[in-house]
Amino acid sequence: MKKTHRGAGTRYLTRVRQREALRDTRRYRHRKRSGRGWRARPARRFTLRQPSLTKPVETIPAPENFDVVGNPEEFIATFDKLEAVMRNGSVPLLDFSERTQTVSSDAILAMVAIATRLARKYATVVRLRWPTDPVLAGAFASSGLKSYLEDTPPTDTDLGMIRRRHNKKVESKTARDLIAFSTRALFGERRREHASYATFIECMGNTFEHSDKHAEGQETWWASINCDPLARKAQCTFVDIGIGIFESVAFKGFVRRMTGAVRKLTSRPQVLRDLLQRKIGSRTGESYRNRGMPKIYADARAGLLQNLIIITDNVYADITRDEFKTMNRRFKGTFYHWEFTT
Amino acid sequence: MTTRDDDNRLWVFIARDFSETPGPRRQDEGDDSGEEFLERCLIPQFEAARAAGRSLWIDLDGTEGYATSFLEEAFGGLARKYGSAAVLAALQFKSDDQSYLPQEIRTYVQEAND
Repeated sequence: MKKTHRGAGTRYLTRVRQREALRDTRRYRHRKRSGRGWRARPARRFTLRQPSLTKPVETIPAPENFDVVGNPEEFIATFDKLEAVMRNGSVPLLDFSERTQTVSSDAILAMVAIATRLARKYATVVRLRWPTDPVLAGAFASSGLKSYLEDTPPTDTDLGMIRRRHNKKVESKTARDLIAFSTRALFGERRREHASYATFIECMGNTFEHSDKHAEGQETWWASINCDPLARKAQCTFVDIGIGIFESVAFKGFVRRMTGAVRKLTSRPQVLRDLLQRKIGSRTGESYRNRGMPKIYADARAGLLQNLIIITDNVYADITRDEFKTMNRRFKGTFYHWEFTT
Repeated sequence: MTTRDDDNRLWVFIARDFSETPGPRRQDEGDDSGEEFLERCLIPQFEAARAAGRSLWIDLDGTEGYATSFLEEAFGGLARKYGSAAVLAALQFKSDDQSYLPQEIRTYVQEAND
């Protein structure tokens, strides 16, 4: 029988219903354990709110240059606007048909990550209006976004692959699949990319350990790889929408240990630089830990990871050029982008 | 499983004997962790090599790559159990794919007990 309800909207509503059912089950167990007795649950009303049908839709034009690496502040500002619309009870429609001229693979991944998080937070959906320009539409189509949304394997025309965390763990097989996909697309054969593989694992490990204030393994990450066969390069992106590096326990402990004057003098870009250069110890106090970020930094400086960009909170770090700067906008989470061309 | 070569050296091939996709530090973080490699492969082979009075050769080639946390937990963890000097004396490394790895691992072993 033909499946007629398999779109992103239906999947979203199914997830809402599953979450409600799980919450009911937990409440029931809690009542039973606490000895308060239990009554049969009243018949659950699974009348799902369909936000896209009942809420007003507000259009937000996507930036002209939809790119996190090249245009971070406008990208963040767009999603700040989008969140404000959702907070007001409307459904945002991100419009790529009006003024958008360029779309980058890193922005597509960050968009997926942020939109998913916001949709969950505000129990609504983010709508997209696809670009009418065939070149831009092609960029979306080949980015792997369609395969990701439909949960299907990449097609022959895909130049990109998007993956999100499937369980609460570091997924080394996912990192391998991303690298394998890109090297096949670029070189026609599977090759190993040790530094990029290790960086994906380090990033997943950081998300697992540090991206939630209360417990490990709570945050979702997204990873993508996009190939440019003409330039013979692959672009890797990793995003989590957690608490970011500066809010992590490690940094809070570090900042607490600093005296007032030093704390005021130490800017966030400098703190990030210190972390990358291993001048800040591990939050556990075990001196042998805290090597992951410094290794990423060292690999970038050695040219094994090219054009590495790290964005967290209001800090933008171009590691390859050794430029650390403060932005006017805050990226809620951590963003890594790098390339390889071997 | 330890392999002996023609020169009667004892070998552990990580890609063959453990995994081609080494993962994170701890087992609860994900599959193919450094902790699992330490417990399942490295400690038994290290003890076998010590009992035989031989060096243990580690072949690092053939994997997708290594996160620092995997290597630190495996080899630093071995040093925390047996002491850095004993581990440095007993282990030898082969890494044609990433020639800098043996030196990195020796650093982890040296700093494991700091």
